[in-house]
Amino acid sequence: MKRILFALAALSIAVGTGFATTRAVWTDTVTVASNQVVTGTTDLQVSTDNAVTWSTTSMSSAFNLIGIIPGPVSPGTYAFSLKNLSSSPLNFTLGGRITPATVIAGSPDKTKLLIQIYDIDTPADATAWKTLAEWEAASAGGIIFNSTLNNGVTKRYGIKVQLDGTADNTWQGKTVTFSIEAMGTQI
Amino acid sequence: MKYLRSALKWIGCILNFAKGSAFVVVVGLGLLSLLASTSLPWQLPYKPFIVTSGSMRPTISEGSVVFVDRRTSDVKAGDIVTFFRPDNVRENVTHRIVSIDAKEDKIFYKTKGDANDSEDAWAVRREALWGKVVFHIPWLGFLMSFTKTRPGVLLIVVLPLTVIAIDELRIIFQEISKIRKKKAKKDNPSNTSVIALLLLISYGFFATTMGTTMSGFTDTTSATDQEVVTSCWVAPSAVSQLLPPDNANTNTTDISFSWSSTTSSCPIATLTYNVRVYTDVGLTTLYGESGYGVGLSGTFTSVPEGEYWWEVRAKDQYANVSSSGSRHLIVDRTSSLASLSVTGSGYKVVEEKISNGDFESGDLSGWGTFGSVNVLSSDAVLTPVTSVLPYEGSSMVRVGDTTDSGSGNFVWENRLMQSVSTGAKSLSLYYNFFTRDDAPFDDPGFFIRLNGQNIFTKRSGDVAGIFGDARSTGWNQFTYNLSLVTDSMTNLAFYAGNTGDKDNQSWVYLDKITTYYVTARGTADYDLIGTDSLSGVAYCEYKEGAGGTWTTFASAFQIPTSGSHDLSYRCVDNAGNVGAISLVKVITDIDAPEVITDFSVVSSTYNTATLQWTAPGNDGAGSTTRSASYDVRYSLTDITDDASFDAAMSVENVPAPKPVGETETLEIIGLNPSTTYYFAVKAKDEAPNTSLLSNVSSVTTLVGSPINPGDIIINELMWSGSSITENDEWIELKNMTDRTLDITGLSITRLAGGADVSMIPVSSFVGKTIAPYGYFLLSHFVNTSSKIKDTVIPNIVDSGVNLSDTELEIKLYSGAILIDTAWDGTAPTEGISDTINGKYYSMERTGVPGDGANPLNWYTCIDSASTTDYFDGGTDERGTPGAKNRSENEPLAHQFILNRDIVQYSTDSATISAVYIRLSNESIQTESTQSASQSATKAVITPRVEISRSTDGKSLSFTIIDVSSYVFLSYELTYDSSIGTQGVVGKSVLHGDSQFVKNDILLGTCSTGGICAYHADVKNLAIHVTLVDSNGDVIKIQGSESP
Repeated sequence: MKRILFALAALSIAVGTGFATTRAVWTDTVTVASNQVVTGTTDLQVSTDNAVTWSTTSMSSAFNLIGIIPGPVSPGTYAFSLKNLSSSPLNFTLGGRITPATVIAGSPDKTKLLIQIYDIDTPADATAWKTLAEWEAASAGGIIFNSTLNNGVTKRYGIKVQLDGTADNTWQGKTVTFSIEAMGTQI
Repeated sequence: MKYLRSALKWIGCILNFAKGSAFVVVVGLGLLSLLASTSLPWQLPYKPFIVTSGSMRPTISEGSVVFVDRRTSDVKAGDIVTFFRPDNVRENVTHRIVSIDAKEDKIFYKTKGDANDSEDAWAVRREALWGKVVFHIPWLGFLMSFTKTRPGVLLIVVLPLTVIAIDELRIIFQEISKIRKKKAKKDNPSNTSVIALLLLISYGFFATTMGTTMSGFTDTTSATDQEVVTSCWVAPSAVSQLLPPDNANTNTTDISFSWSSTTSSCPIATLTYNVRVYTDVGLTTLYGESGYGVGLSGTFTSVPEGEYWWEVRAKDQYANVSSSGSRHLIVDRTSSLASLSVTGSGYKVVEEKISNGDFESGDLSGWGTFGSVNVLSSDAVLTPVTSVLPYEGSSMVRVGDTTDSGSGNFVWENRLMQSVSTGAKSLSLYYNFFTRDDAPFDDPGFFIRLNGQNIFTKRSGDVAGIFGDARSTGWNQFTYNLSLVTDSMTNLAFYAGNTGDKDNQSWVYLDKITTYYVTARGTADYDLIGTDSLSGVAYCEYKEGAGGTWTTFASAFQIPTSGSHDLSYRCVDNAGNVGAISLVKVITDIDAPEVITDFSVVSSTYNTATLQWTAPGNDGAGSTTRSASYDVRYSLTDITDDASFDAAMSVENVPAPKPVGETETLEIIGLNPSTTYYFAVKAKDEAPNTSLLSNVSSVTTLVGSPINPGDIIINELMWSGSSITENDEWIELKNMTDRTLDITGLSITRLAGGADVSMIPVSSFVGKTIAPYGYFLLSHFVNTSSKIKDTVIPNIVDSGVNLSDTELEIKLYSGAILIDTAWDGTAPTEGISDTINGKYYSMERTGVPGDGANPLNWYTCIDSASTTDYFDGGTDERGTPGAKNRSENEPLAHQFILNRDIVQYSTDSATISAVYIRLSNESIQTESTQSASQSATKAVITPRVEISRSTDGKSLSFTIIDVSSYVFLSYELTYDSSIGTQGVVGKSVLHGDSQFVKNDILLGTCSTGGICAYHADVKNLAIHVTLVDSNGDVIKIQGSESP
């Protein structure tokens, strides 16, 4: 009888544990996804030459907006393209952030430079206007693009900037160099 | 039941095998889990993380499990550490420390993945560290990760648990069976299952909760090097101007401006500069600008004179502009004018002796002219001089044309003339000679003559520059000592134009023509005043003599030493322009002339008295220098002292004194008949010191008619008629007195058929008067029917006015007294009647009327302006009806004397001679060519000239033969005498006659009263004649007296 009780205890533990474990795996998809060994499974590619050449990691851009003065919004200018070439049919929500920008000559107030990224072919799909400081402080998920990037799709993105009308003269003649890190999150 | 038990046995065997295998796996994983568990009541020192990316390859590959020593208290560069990602603490990152920084007492680590090219963007705080990676197990992470998948959970967790569960069910069934058989069997396998279960649960818990570590590029891509460049919107700082300084004056043509570089608050600003020059202080009228450039200076070339304001603008590449503010600049290349004045007791300042010498009347009144002579307020000239302004005042005269080529007159065809008095004074004038020609042409292009002799010349070669450009000497003063001229009057003439050819012009501007002298006592104060319209006068200076040292003028100075001083002075303006040197002869005189004691009236008429005295010395008794002037006065009451002398009437235009000891003769005219006059004289020097009163002489004039000879003259005759009719003729009379004359009783006759016949009867003059020095016009027609301008009203209109072209002689009578005669009964040679070419010129009496019966005292009116001044235009009538004659200063009627022995400028004298000869030679050569050309088209008829002298040696005649092809001639006659070279000039319009004859040219000089002195030792007679044909071609011939 004692042995039967041991066996019943073991059986109940095994069944309970298995039930609990599988339930955790099937319901906490965020955890699973974030723990994927992703190399080779997702492929978010970037191009800065209007989809001529592509990189899975980064590509230098020729994007250059000059003559920015306080007040006016700059004309939208093509900056980069993104392409979802994941090996499995993954769709992405897109976010982005700016890695800490390099500002030549001085440390102007980064809250005065507003940046917006938008889908050139669907201009309504644009991020909110965010200051350079906000773009830099964005979390890993980045500031969300309004559009998604489905598997096999390519989109072209432009950038608009506006130097706030209250920007002081320390913003004169500054060259702000930055990288936009686009992040695709599987949906 | 048997089969059931056998099946259960087989199943039990299989389950035991599976259970054993699961046990092995589960034990291994469970031990691992226990080792790393943080959920257990105890914690092991090492925490495992699954590596999810390859940023640490090749050191750690993805799929590895790294074990981190959580006890790590100290790390150093090179250590591999695991830490919370600073920008997303939900993630862990395993990277290598590359450097350690300390900021504000906090430690930060800079990290980098071995496979990454650059450092991580973040800095890791010490508190974010999990610890140092002490070891790792490759591939284990894949298993752990596989466990997290559904297949992984089924295979690694669920399947072992199922096996164990089945086995335990089997055991339960076996035990129940044993109980039923009451067969007790000691067995304890469940203990291992429980242990295995616990280990498996531990693993499952561990595997599903174990953290991961990653590096950050796994599913991201980046577009790098985005650039946003802000503009510049703040203007650069104001530029600091360097040179020229504010309110600078310069006399340079090319002006350089410089400034300092400036800065911008914009770090990327690239600055360029632009200097802008304006002509107004408000900076609205731009003269010019350099244009933007990086240089710090700009040069403007050929900047005209004037006042300017300049600024320098700085601009960045975004068109933000700043200005320096303005500076003032004066460009002044015109020298200051200097004038000398004398103050204090006993002085004479510059004395104007030439009528309209400054041309400020705006016309040529007072002057005789020929050719191209014009009064101008300014004149436009081509490159490089843009305009010429008068030297002083608002008018100047130009002699000659400015046309650039192929036209214009020869130098002897453009003349400006006036008779001026001489004496102890100087001639001063300002000239600005222009030429477009080049040496050796136009040599001379300008010369000044006194009595036909050159005293000054300028030639094209004297003015440097480019052939064809209008080159100028600028305004210069010319002075000449008139005391060297022995005659009391001299003819001053200016000539300018072409010499040799007409390809390029020369001409001259003249202004401020004066005669002057400065005499003063030793106590007189001299002041210098400079004027400069642009930069202003910096200072004036003076010196005595040519080689002296300049003294800067500060206050009035004196010249106390008695005698003559050549004082030079000039002014310098603030732009550095040094003015032309003005030279003035200053006479300091402290001695009065010698008193005259032999003053007497030697003769008298109805209205004249002739006075005579011996010329006194200038500085008291024994002085050998002549006085400067006489003050002759007369009165109806006796002159007894200085007071009554001062109250007496002064005689004007008294000739200058003669050398000491010579007899002075003066005729006083305009006296009243049967009246007693008292005369006296004082001599003056230049200071003026005045002599004591002379003795007094009186006379009672003769009883005569109300009008006496000399009171009225026949002043002008238009014998040629006009373009309307040959009867459109007129006569002009002139009152030579200062009294209004009642001319009732006058009559005029004319010569007709060798006898005088009445032309204007006495009845025509009844009740008529002539104002003092006024004119009286008698016309054949009323002005509206005559060519005479309608505004000129004849005093008498009488159809009896009829002047013969062949035997002209007009006589004016006052009662039975012959008052005056005009012409000599021959065909008139003065005046022109050219019906073919429409020329009708009057003949005018000379300024010194002399004997009207002598043709020498008449001259053709050549004043072109009179055509429009006195006639209803349209045809070329010339004359001055009812007005002053305009040719009375023409020198033909006078043979003036220039004593060459005492010419001051001997060098100039030599030059004059040389120029004169060269002029003639060149002209002959040139005309020879033209003559040759002409010979091809017309008969070879070469004019020639013959000269003959009268038997008494007092006059000569010349005849120019074969001149029928020519329409105009001029001549210059010269000869040597005992007192120097003499000259006579003249001209005439030709009317197709085969020869031109000029008779009775006096070899001497005649005074106002008609007394003539004849030259002795007359020799070397030579004549130069210029002939012009209807095509304007010119030929020159010369001749000399036959042996």
